[in-house]
Amino acid sequence: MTTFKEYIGWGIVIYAIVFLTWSSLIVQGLTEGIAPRLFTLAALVAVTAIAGTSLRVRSWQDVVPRSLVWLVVAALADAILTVPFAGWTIYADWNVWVGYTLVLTVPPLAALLTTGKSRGV
Amino acid sequence: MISHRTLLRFALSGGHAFAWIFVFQFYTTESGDVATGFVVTLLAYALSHTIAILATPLGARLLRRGTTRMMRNATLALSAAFLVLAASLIGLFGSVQIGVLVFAIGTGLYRALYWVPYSLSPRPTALGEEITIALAPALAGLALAASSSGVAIVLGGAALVTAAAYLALGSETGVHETYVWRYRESFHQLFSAQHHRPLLRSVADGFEAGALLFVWPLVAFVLLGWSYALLGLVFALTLLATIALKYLLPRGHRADTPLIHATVTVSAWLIRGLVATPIGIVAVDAYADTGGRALHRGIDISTKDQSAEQHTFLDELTALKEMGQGIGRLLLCLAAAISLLSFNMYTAALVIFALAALATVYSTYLSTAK
Repeated sequence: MTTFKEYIGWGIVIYAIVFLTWSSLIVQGLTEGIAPRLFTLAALVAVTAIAGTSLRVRSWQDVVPRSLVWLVVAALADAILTVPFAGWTIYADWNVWVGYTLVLTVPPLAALLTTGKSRGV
Repeated sequence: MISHRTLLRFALSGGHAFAWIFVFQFYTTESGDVATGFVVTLLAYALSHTIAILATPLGARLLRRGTTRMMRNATLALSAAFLVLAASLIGLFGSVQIGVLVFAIGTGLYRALYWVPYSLSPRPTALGEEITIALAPALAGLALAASSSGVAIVLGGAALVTAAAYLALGSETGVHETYVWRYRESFHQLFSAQHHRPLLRSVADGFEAGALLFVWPLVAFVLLGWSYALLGLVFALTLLATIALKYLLPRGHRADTPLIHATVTVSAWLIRGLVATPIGIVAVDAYADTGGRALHRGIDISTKDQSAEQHTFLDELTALKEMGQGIGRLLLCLAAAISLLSFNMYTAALVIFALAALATVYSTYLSTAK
């Protein structure tokens, strides 16, 4: 159960929070300009950093397989939830690729900052 | 074993590159834009290699149950991947997207489980078998050009031949090996200081292999006017030229020194940015193969990059090499997506080719520097 929570559960949580953040901005009519996008990316960085540091791991290397799975969850969720409404062109948007890069890199970086270098194996 | 390898290589030679091109064409048609179609295909390819990275340590743990059993599982995953993609593209499923998803996962699992055969001593392949395998892309191209059911014939055929390869493995379990690292420990080892240089080299090799075996065929397909028949013919002629070079070049040439390999490969990447004709594509690929690797490794279209060291070994380092190559492919996908979103397709291709050339230089530097 812990494995499911760490590998899939956090992936769903990350996607849900970012999706909710962007949806809230749309409801408020705040989608023009760079500020809403930066705000959403900031939310993404925050939640992925929390996810990366909440795991009981010895070092940042332990976080890498989890962040890979979170990336897969995010990409699949985009394909299932967003493409039917927005079309395939969402993948031609820089934001999506920046988001995927952050999902992959922020959790290990956050773990590195909190646990320090690898303590060996 | 030879029969299994021949069947599998025939299926990959005829089906694998075309499968990704079908996916590319589907998403291009769906989105109405070549760059978007390319980017979505890159995402599916990245998914396949993410699965491969994640599953490689798990697959390695299964080695204790027998290498042949593992190969059977891998072959079954590949056959199912071809079959589901075929069924979805011809409309038997409601969603092509599900078919692409299963194809990406299936090929990722295949890749994660099938590196073991390269730990076995390479067996010489008869010339007739090599030529048969080389002709597979031409047959696939002809089927696509001649029949409205070409997609079903090519992918269904690839699934059937892969299933035959599965049956050819028999019921033996094979050699039982022990993989000593646990799942987390594999990632620790991958990023450890001790394996820093091999990791960087694997990443560079993976980047270049992804550019060669995934990006280049898609670019060639566009250059050839979206013609399946022409692409199949070009693939087949390239493979035949590789076989001819293998037998015609003096043995001394096959020394494949790092400097020769790097020089030929880098110049081939630069020339790829200039070619626009079928003959040009065959010529540059045949020229690239004179660099040595293909002459040693034979003509597997999608599996040759798994034997990057040419001599192989069955141990934990092989798993790390596979994972490193997967990371290299993920970086390729990211770089290619950024290039495609920033420039027109021709400029983006030039950027990717230049990066692939740099990756080759870096890999060669790491292999020779002390």
